[in-house]
Amino acid sequence: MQKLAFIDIVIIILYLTGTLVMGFLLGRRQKTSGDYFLAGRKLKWWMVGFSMVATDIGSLELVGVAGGAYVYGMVLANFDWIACTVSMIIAAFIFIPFYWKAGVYTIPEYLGRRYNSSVHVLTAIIWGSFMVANLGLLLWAAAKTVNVVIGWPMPLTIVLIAAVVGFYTFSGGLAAVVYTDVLQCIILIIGSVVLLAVGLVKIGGIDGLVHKISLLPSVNEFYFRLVLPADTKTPFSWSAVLFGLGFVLGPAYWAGNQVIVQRCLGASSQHEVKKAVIFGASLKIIFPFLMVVPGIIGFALYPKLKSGDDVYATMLYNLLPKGLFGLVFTGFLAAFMSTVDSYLNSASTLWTMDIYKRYIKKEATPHHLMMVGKILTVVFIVLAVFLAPMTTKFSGIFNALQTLLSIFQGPTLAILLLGMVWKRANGQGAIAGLLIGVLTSSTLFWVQADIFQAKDPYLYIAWWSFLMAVVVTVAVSLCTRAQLEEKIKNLMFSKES
Amino acid sequence: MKEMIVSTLKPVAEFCFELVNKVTPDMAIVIYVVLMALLALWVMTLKQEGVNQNGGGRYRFWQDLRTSAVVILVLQIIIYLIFR
Repeated sequence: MQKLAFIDIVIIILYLTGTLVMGFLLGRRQKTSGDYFLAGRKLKWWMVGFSMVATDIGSLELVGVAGGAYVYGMVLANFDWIACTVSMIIAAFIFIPFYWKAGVYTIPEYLGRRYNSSVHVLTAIIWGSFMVANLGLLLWAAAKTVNVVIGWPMPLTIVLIAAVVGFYTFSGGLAAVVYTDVLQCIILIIGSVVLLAVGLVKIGGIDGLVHKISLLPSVNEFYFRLVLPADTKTPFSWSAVLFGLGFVLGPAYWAGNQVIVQRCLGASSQHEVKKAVIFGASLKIIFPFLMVVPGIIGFALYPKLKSGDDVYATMLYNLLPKGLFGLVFTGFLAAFMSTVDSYLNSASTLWTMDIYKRYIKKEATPHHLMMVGKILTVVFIVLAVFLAPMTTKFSGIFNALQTLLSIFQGPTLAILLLGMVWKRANGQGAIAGLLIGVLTSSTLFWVQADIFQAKDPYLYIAWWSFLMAVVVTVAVSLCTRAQLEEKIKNLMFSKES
Repeated sequence: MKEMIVSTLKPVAEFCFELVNKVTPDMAIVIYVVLMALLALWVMTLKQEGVNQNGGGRYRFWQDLRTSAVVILVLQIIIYLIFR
């Protein structure tokens, strides 16, 4: 545990004050639901690009990816490379511009227009519940690391961060979230570069790193490889990475996750959306060097840690001098806050636009909807504070998040993809595909130990649930009546737009 | 119930595992690279109207989002070949 120096405290206070002021100033411009949930559709491509990346990289990723790299090595970089850059290019050209063109607020709203209201409400409830639960997980994971690094009690950290994030998200909506995300992404990159540079100097550069790792008896022969054989005992065989991560979880996350897509819907034009996602993809190329390599350095320096999840905190308090510690720690806070604010804003958008507006008060004015969104923001952050301790039931931080995601993401991607590219897909097919897909992933999680050779086979489960959802959606759609082409033609992918 | 599901799915799981286990990491790298190259080719087939700032009008190659996307994919291919 490290005691904060005066300069460290100044850096942290400056950062927290800056985000609060930004949220307060932006909050004064909010008048309608369009301002609050979509930032008035005035966001520039670079803002959206930074925001997407900042949202993706939360404290779970910093701690979890470094921890995974500590245990498994370079293979963890697949989470940023094949799962992000490649998926983002697919999302940039096939999915996201068409959501923007449809003028929707949420992915469930898009699915509702493309299929029917049952698909709309089902996906809204699934995603809305997941996001609120996930907020608790995010708060708990970050508080745990803060506790290890600087010794703050977990309840204090949870309440303090929830109050700061809750305030600026409540005040400024998506605009505040995106503007603070830009700041947070830059701080995160600077902090990560500092940690990488200090780590590399300490270990003697790349050559020193490779040499030191090769001397460790516990290291496996594939530690520096991106592609592992199918019979590896890790969850990351080539087939699991390609089918589960590259084909399903990556595209599902970048094209079908409301948290990611919402900032894109706030962009000022369809071209800005594509540009933003491509910019985000180019940023993601550098992140394995900033997140995975520090985990590997940590393995070389501290090979006997109890858990890989401890490596990030261990490096922070063992390697960094005063001042730099404050900067990198602020980068950690920035990563954490940029993800929490996005989940909070998206959860409030989903429940307001997909449930409240549709089923409780259909004639609500845009101003009324904004006020409901603000109230829900407060309710959800308070709920998240109480849900946070529940996450201790999960054994590994990163795997816990991925497990939750893999249950829903595969089936959701299946109906999104078919809805976007196959005009014959209809509402009955989508409902059946979604339900059978979720049932498939839940069943496979239940029997996983007896079926799969790999440890934590969530990537395979995502693949099979996606495939099952595709098969069922196609079969049921073909057996039922097609939708009118007129109704769906502007909601589908075309090479010209 | 659980035993019934396991006994039904186990042979399928074993068959799939045997199938993917025949692919060596070097062969897998080739699959990764080919798939990324195919994606780059597909991006190049997209219509100009959808990918450059001025719709179908005059534009410079760096304003064409297809170029950026292909550069990113080529970088990815190089990275996968380095860490193979």
